[in-house]
Amino acid sequence: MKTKLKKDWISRNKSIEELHNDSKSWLSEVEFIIYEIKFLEHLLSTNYINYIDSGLYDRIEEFTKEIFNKKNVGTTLKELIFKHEKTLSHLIQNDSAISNTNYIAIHNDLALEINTFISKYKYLKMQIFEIVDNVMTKKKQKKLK
Amino acid sequence: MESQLKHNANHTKKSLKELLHNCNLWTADLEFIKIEIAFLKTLLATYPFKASIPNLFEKLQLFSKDLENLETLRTIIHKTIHSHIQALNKNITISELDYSSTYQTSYNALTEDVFAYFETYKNLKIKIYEFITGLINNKS
Repeated sequence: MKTKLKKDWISRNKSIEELHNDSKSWLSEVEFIIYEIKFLEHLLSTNYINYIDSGLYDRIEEFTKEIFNKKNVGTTLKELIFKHEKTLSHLIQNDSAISNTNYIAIHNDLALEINTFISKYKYLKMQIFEIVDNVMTKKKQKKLK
Repeated sequence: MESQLKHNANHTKKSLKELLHNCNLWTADLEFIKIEIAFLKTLLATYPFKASIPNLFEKLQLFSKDLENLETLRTIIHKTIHSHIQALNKNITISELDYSSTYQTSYNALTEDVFAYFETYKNLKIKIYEFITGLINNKS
């Protein structure tokens, strides 16, 4: 039987260093996703994978749109993280970072938002892998005929 | 682009549940990487690159080899995390808060290894993406 782990540590007070590290790691993750999306856009472009022949045009069109939306969400999140880091440095100057409940609440919300974004992105990426794989296989089969 | 995120060892004492949660997250990430490595290997092996590109075959072989090495390392790290999960599960039943500094040291070492692996993997992906994008741009 699998029991669900109760995330009771979420409410623990994080140090300034931990809060700053969270932001740094989110920023790195989001920046990488934006970079990776550009590659996936390339990969899905009509010039390279002739998906019209393979009858997958509609699905690839849909993924191209979705990946474009993800890039926009990524850019927005990046701006939010920058803003959040700026707020942290102001709070550090006033020596009120850890005691500021509003900041901590925003930090937790941002964490949740970023985790959701990453999960959804991974799901989309899996679907793209599947479709590119599909196109490659069909192409290979066509060559063998 | 190169990913240069350094892992900062954080000495805040975390609960066993939190450590277990981190291990589960790493496991999920490593399982995703397994699928991704397989995809990248297929992509490198089957993508219709032009045979006239200098050293194309050698470059593709090198990338495939790097991916294989990272897959091997992934399996090792995955096993280490699994043994940590077992140890943590055992300790959670015995005591919620008390765990030895020896365990904490070994957990910190694992954290360093996992983060170093993620960074190395990310940097290899960047190299592969740059290479394929270059070929794609050449083709158009």
